[in-house]
Amino acid sequence: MKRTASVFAIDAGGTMTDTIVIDENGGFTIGKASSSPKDESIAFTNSVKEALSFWNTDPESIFPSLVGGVYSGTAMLNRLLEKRGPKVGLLVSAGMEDYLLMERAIQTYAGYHYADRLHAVTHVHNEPIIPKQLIFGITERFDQFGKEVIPLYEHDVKQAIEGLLEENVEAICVNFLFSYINSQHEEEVESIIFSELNRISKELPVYLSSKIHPVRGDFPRLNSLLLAAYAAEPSRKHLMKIKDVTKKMGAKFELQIMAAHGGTLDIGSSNLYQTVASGPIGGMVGALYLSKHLGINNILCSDVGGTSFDVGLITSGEYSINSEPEVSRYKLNLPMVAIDSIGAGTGTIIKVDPINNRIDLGPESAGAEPGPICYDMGGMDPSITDCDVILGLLNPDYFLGGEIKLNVEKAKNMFKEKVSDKIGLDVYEAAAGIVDLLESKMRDTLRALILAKGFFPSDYVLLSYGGGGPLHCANYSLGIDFADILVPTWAAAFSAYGCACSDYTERADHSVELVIPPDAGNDMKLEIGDSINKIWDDLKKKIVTEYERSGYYEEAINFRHYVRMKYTGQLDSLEVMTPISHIGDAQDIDKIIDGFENIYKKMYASGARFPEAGYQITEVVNTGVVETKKPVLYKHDLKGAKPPKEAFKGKRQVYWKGSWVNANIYEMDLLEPGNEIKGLSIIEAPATTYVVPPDCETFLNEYLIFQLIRR
Amino acid sequence: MAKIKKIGWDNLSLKEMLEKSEQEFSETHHYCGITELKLKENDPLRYERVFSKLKATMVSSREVALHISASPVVREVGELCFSLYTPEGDSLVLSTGIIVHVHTMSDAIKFMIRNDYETKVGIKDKDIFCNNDVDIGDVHTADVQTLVPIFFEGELVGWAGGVTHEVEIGSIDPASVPVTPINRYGDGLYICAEKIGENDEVRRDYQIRCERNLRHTTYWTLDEKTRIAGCHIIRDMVVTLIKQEGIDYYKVFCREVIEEGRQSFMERVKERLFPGKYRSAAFFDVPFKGKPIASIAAKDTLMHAPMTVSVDNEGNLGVSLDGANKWGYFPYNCPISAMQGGFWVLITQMLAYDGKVNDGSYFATKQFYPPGSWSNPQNLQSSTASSWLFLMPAFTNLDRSLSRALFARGFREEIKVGYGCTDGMQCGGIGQYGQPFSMINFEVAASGMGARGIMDGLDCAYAMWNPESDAGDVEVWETAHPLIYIGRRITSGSGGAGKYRGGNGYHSVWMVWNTNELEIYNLGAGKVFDNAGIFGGYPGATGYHIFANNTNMKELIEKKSELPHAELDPNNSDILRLVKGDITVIDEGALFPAPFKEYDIYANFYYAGPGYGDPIERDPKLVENDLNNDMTLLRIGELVYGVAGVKNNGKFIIDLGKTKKLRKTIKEKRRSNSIPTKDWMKAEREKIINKELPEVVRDMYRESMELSSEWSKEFIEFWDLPDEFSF
Repeated sequence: MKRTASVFAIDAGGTMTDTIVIDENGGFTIGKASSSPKDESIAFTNSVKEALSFWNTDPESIFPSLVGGVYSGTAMLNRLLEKRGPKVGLLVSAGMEDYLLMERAIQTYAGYHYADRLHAVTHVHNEPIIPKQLIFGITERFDQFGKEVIPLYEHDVKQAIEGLLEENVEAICVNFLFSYINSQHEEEVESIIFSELNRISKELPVYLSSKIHPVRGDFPRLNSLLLAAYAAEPSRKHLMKIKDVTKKMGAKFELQIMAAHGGTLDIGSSNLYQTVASGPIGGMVGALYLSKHLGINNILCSDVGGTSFDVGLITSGEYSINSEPEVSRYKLNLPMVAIDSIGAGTGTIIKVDPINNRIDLGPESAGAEPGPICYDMGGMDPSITDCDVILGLLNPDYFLGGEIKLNVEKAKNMFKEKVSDKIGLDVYEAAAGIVDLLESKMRDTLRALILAKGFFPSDYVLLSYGGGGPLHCANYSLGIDFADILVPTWAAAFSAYGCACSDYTERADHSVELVIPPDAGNDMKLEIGDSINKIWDDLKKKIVTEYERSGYYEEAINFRHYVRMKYTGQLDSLEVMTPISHIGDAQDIDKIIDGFENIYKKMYASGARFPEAGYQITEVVNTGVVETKKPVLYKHDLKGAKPPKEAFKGKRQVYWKGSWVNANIYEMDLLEPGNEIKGLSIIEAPATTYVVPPDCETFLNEYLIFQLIRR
Repeated sequence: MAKIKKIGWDNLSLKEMLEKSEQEFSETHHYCGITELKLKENDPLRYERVFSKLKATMVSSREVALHISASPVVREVGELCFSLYTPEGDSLVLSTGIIVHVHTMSDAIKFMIRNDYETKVGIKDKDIFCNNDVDIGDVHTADVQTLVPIFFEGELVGWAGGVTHEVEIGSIDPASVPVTPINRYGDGLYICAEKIGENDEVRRDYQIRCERNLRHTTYWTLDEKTRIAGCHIIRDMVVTLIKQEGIDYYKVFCREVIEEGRQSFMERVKERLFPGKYRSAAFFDVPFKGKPIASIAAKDTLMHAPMTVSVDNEGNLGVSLDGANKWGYFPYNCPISAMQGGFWVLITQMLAYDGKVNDGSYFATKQFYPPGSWSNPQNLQSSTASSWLFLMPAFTNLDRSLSRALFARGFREEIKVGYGCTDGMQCGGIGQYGQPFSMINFEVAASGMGARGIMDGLDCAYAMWNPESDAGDVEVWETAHPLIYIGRRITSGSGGAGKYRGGNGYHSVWMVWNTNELEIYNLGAGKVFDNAGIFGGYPGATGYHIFANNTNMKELIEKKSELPHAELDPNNSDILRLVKGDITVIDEGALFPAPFKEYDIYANFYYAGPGYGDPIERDPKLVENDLNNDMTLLRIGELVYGVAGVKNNGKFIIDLGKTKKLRKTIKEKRRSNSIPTKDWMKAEREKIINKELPEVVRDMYRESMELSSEWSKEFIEFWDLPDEFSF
């Protein structure tokens, strides 16, 4: 069959690089290749080639017809973690020179699990990415209202520049206190630097925190600023290399990069730092896309990867934004799709406490190398994948399409020695119990996410994806009354798919302090409205400039307007999408307040409301969106309930609830829409395995998405 | 008269349940008489699943509730904790956060049970109780607890408890950790295990009382909502869990899990700690002589915390403060509940950080706090509003003793020598918004950690009372008080020297801004070290107060002259060097409320951790690195660490040859300065016999000897004094 590919997306994770290429009818092919962190273009090429090999074609034949492509990688994050950035000089408000040595203590245990957060001797600082000698204090100050307390000491600036030039820095960053309210001093510094550089005919990039992300929180803002100068800028070249590869393959489109806020960015964007952590975001964006096209308002997304279980909510067709996320032990000022993550995945290591024989799962993971014991590549620690293969859930001859042959005996012997003998259980009983324990942790995470916010599971559809999602979802969803449980046939590359579903989005945020007292009159509300309108307009200009760089003009951009607000006095704000793009009267402010109250009630229960305190708008946000070509969600004709003969692969013994039972085995790719399969069945694909328990059945719908139904 | 239905299990009242549980424990030494962990043995995986579900609930209730709060103390530095209790008030699972309170809330629940709340006050589904009375169960008035009963089909199945640290408590001084109370009546607004709400609604009359007795209520109100929201999340989850697992399972589970916690804790003690008796002492100065308070309180006192930690072969761990001196007319007294809180929070960081963290550990230990001492005043009149201030130094003893016991077993990587003990700057008056305000700046939740057995202590990132420590952002704190930061710097060389040094503390320099009506006060140790190193390590530095009133800062700023952004070297103070005005330097920890106005300067020090091992065994490269990062001072490098080198282009480069020689000289000097212990003791004995000790020291020992005949006897024997000796 001649295919015309439409879009493609790549998710380069820590261990695997997944590609999905989608044709104009919504047909897709998935490729997986080992990641190549040093030069991501290698894994990129391998992964694309593998995907296209299933269509018996190659990149050169397909790329010229593609209309879009999105990339999500880890190069920027790795650069930061491995301290492989340029020599950056930093100017801060005088007295704050120790920022990076002191950090915020929260970074000394960020990402730790429960026990180690308590176990204080394990806490450690991050190694500073800028040495003390390259950080200079500049005497100056604005207060929280933007009033000048101490004027800029120009002589400090000149002295600092001299010092930094002597050290041959490759870039200069400036982060002054309250620059998000008044950027005057940062701008003055910038012009002094440029005139000094002019004098000696030298060029250096200068980054101001008031330009990069003018949002409250001096330490996370500094982290974001350094991320931009130290990791994002050098990664631009690296991303250009990948873009060049696409061009060589004949691409006519401009490669876009997935950003943490759920949109994509052009490689030239000055907000490129916002693409630092986008891997798990892809799945959320894909889910949002499904939500819009299938008319599902509320989705609980669950992504089972090798090392983590990531969950997020789409409520009323929107995900929420976390404005101060922690990314790899750094607290950043960065808009990021809100995702919760626990260290529970298919590679999670099983440990038995020698003192009390307590079983503990993770947070360590077997990773891709040496991997679980059953990979037979030197792994010695029993993991969930080992249990899955011991129980017969995984086909040892069809893992990654047969690329890795799993050694069941070895997994069984070591699991017996290290786990089941110690807790006094039979091998199979213990393996089944441990998988159940992991799934129960996942279930708790799902339940907590929904119930803690006062929502009802019955209003949500559970979407399960990631390589391990289809394998575990029947059990991790057990006992929670979801409206529906969906497993896309492309679950294994769903995050990559999600990247292809995102729009080209430039987002600009600005912190403000606009107080709306409980008794605010119309005049006051109008005054506040004027302030918001002005910032929305300023941010719009900023966004338009970004787009012009990649050839888009204002007419092509859709603007969406938001504010972040809270009750006066509170510290945490919630993001409220405003129904209006311009505040014309006092009622418009009331509409924004209503929007806030609705979200607050959903997040924290009604009793936690505090309207008596009045409201405070803390950030004004404008988002420019240019819609891009997305995968078509093709509606197939439904065939009969009975699966085609060739899809049935035979039977296999599986350990299920304490005994060995025969399971029907199917080949996923050969099933047809409309097919119904009763449990106990195992549906295998090269990149994933879908388990349908005895008390369930599954229906492959017209969009090639399985629905899991409990009988 | 209709008989009131009892709300406990098996037709018992709560009081009967509590008495039964205590009797079973005293008879069997197993919690509720549970000797076998049947649920765990029969189905270990189901048991773990249920525990993991409860733990996830605690952690998520805290995460969600955190965002409701207004107080930077709660939201920015996480001073919030939740726990789940049995009907009798024993904790079975807790969140992270200020876990010091897990046992204090247990005391509060037991107080209500013992005082017949069941019949006299009424305990119903959807009731809300509140407590911050230290004598009932708390650490100080600033820690406010919410307790919500959990019912299932008419029976009380447990309690959800939440606690937050408040920034304003209506005490004699603004904010929440006051320095001037000399008795309970200055401690602030006491809520004494009171029912404050029904049907999930807080009573309006209670709210009115709070509104009229606090300087401002935004934080108080939102923090209350925070605690209630968290408790309700827990309550709903527990009921759901019971529906899934069955009430019979839950009833056995909630007790078995505590017994398992107890057994695991003893096993952990057996594994990690070498048996023996470990002794140490800590001190704290109360410089109240001449201070503007009632004459009974206006005297200097030295508080005494001699601690004995005993470990036996069976895994029994005991702590005794026998020898502690008397309670006094100052706000630092610590009732038992507070002491147990301090003990508990360190134990969960060093021994019981994984597995079942709950009251099981409490049942596995024996603690003795002598009646009449500051650690157990047994006097309702005593002020406890700032109990933390002496509790912290007292428990550095525990860290040192555990470190020695861990070392003896070979667990060097588990060692943490202690920590710096400080309080946050507190202030009140008219704030930058033109309204009355008060605030405690809780950036203190990130002081220096003591050295570890294999590496330095954490710089500026540790708080003993909250392992999830944090200092928060400058831009957030400045919205909370009319003081702007002109510096926040690491205090060079403050970490106790050692082979591995203590974590450095830091200091903030503020300029008063946007108000002319402000008072600032603070508390802490100043004349004595509040911690000590081990194996030759030095104590971490304490601090001093330096402030400037009626300054020329405005002029300095207008002329763009140099400003005092830091106090990097106390021997060469920038404030003294650069600022003109009325400058005060106080080498005491306590600062009584002092008035400030715009352009005045105040510097506050957060103390540092103690060191581990002999400083001249420290890798010279580490000293070089410290010098190049201003982590220590050149003269400390030379004098204490014996490191020599040259400064080239502003960078210190070590000279290994000269360093070796210098260290040799230091050793020789030490040798020539030493005298035999016997001779030293003889000289000290003379001083004791002749009572040639400072008055505060004599008073301190006299009180200790009066309170404990055993300690007195030991003191006399140790120094070989006449039997009738007294101070």
